Amino acid sequence: MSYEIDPATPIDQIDPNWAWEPWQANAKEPWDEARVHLLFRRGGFGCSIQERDEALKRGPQHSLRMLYGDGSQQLRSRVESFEEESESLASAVRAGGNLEALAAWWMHRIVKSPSPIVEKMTLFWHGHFATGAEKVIDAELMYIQNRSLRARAVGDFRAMVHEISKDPAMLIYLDSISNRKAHPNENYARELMELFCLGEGNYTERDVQELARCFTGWEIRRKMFRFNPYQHDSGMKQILGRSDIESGEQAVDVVLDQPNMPRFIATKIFRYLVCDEPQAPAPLIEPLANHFVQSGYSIGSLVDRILSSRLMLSSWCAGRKVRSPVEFAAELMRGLSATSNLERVSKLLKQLGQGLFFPPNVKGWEGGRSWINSSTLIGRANFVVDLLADGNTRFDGKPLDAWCTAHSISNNEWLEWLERSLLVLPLTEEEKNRCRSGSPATMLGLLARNPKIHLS
Amino acid sequence: MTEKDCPPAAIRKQSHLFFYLFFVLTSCLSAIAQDATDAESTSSKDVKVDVEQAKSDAERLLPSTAMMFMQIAPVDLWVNHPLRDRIFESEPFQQIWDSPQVLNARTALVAGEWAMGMKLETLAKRLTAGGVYVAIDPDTEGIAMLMRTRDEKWLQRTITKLLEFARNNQGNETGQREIPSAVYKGIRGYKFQDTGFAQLGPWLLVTNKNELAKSIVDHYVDGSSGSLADATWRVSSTHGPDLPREGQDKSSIMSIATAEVDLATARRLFASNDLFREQAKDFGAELLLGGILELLQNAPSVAVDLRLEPDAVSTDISFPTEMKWFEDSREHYVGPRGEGKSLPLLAVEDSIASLSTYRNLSEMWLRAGDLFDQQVNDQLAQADNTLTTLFSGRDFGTDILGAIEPEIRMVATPQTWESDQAEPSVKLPAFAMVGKLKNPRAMQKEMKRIFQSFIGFLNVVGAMEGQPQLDLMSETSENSSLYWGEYVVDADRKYENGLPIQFNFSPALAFVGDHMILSSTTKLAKQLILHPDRIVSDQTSSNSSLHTEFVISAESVQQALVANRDSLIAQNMLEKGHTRVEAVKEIDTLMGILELLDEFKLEMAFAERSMMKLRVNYR
Repeated sequence: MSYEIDPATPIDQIDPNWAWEPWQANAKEPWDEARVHLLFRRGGFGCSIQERDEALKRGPQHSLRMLYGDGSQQLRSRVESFEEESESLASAVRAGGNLEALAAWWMHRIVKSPSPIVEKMTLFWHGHFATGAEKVIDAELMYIQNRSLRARAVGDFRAMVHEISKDPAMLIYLDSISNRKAHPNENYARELMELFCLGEGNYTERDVQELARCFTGWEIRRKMFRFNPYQHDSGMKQILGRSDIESGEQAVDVVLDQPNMPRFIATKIFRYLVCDEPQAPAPLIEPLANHFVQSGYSIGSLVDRILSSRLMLSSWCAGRKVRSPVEFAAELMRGLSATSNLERVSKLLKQLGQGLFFPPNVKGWEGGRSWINSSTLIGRANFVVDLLADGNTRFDGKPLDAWCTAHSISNNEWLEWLERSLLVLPLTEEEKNRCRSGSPATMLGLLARNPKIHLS
Repeated sequence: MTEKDCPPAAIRKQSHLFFYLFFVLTSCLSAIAQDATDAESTSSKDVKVDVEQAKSDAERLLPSTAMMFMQIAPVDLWVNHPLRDRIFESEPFQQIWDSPQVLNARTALVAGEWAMGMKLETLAKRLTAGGVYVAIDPDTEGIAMLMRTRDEKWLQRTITKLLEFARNNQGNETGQREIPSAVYKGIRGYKFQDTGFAQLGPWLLVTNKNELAKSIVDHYVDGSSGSLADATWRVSSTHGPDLPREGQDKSSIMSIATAEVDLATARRLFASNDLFREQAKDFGAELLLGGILELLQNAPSVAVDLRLEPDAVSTDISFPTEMKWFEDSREHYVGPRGEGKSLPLLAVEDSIASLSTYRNLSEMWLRAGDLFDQQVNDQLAQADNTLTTLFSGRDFGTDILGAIEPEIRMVATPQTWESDQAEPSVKLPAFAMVGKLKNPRAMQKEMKRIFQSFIGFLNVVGAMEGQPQLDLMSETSENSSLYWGEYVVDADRKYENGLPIQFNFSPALAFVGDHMILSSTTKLAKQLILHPDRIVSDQTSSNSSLHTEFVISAESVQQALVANRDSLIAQNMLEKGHTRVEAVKEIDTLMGILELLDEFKLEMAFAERSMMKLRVNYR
């Protein structure tokens, strides 16, 4: 079987058996810089020069481990010390109870974490189990939810759903602080099936009502989950064809046992990691859904299967996603080893439509083309200019010019370097000429106006 | 609108000119770097210049239209002050001194000094032998600096070298060696970039405007009238009586810079500036600075004097004052006929800050309609309703604030926790306010009841938000009674990130004699009632002329910052993008700077000449 695929192949003509086999380098398709960048972009938030060099040297399997902060003792120690530092940062931020500082703390993780895939998937689950701080208000509860999502981000999906079902921030966001048997609150029950596990059309209104009965007595008191047996409807309920359900926990299991659940999750993760549109046909998703079930609903296993696949590392995949604002900023910063005022960065990201801890509604961020319109295009270009102009922005502790010098990148080579590192599609000569002017910062600012920079 | 019609904007641009002036001075230093023969040979024969005469001459050279006049004392007089050695020897300075950026500058400096065969310090002393005089002239939108150098010949040689340097420099950059120049009344002026300079006998004139330069040359050549010496606004700005100095020897105090500003012109030019508006937009600013704002709105001038003392740097700011300015709207700030005086500061061990002031809060609250704009008044009306409800129907302005005499004292101290005690993750200082009740018999009961209601209110609101609850307690003794609330640690709750911020507080109300203490912590309230004599005394201190006295202890501030070091480091990392190592270094440098300082003190007095004295004592 050929390893190659025509980048123009329609998605419904991709052979699923071919697509999800592990990718292997060959003479025609070597493990090269473009593939390294593709893997690190989709599985993380881009890579630094050092990460790129190590990944190129060590091959795709090792690179995948690198995304987890694994693969070498040195990397594991980095993860350990990073986690220690992040914990201490979180502790100080939590003490202040400031949501903006909390968003900056997460951005710090996104830009600095030596296990970026965990942050990438935490961001995914934050959009999936969308909870908005504008309603929850309490930074501590948002932090606790974020920590819980991170702990399960590449772990057991079933355990994650059980946990989120009792998460105070989630239940406050969905108006489920109290759920009495006389008036079962249907919000969480509906979202559990529609948005979190099954998708529309896979349940009935009756299922929503019955599931809501199971969650009666589930309350949030003093910012903690509490089961109030006196408010629980202890009668038997009939949900999704099962008639022996009594408790909320049993009900969550019934939802998770539905055959469409693995397909629904695999489809969403496929869209997040591989391709925004068109929607993947069922046959292409089926092997992933089966893999998800066989792995015991291990998210990490599903993600690994996707990231190491022939389809993922093929030229077909490149440019099929629009970078979200967070990806846009983080890939730029990680790629150039940049540090800056992260509170300001987080605020700017909110203006671009992706405020961390502030998803727009319970459906989360729509993603794909919705990220881009005339206003956000200008906003993103201005973001780059603002970032470069900010006195706090440094690149490996240096100004951008000095960083380029340290990496032996001359002004003439700079644009080509950016093209290789940040862009998926090549620039035309005309586009290059438009950007070739002045200092490295000016060139980067000009490149940020080119729409190609928004493709991943 | 022409540029001329818009002087405020033009004046704002002047700030950039300081850079030009600095540049010219630096260029000058470099220019004579080659003058090695001149260098040390005459150093022992430095000419002494009469500074008083030089100041008088400078006033006659500068135009009467100037709105600001500043005099900087000769470098020779203050450069060897003991403070310099203390700063140089300090750790933060050494860190900055050894940083790569400063090392580059030091290398360049050493090269320059080697080339000129003269220390930079020697050169600066000669250039400023008779002082430096700066004026801002709104009519020409110009700024001028006159340096009275040690003598005419030396200056001539210096300028020749400067021109040579400038020619070489310009030649290297543009290929043009000529420095544009013009002669006016026999004086040749040169233009380098946007700055002009000329020699007027022993004076070096540097300015950014031709018109201003011509006006100065006119005065120099013709001795024409209308100089700054004749400006009417300066009559009022001469220094008046000093604030008491706690038995300090005045001869040990050295004035290193003075400035006088024509406030009438400033008000005309900056009419839109909030400082000169009659109605305040900010309640806090009015509360703290109302009297000073009144001065800025009425006083014809202000004089500033920067002084070096053996163990302190101080600034005196003085305004000619008429008490009638305050009568209409700000009597609450200075008291009737300006006689509002502060009590002695509260003596509490290790206090971070202590304030004693006169402020009739009730009168201020009731005068709000005149003091604030509509928006603030709307907010105050809303607050008045809420507070009246909170204080059980008592009118907040009249009954509550009006129950306290206007002499107010406040104190803040760092908090400590026992080693076996759980600590809050953010550690705030404790603070207390002490005031005398006008009708103690009636008000003590009333205040006690209000305090109990307040604790109950906090508990109800807190319970709704899942916050910890306060336990109400009391203690009475022969001389005092104390009521307080104490947050209860919830045994069922995990405080994985330390105790919440509320645990910094245990609100307390105490009565000692006729005095009432409101404190954020019981510990501080107890500390205060332990020494009733310090509170009850109505005797004003030796500084009885003071309206306000405010002291901050650098050591205690440092202690409070050390307690929150982790939070400061985290903030630094997130706001500046620093690594942990960089953030730690920056925060520790800040702490190191505080180690140099001992105390910051502000004193204010309102009289014929209102005075403010800011004093920073160093260790």
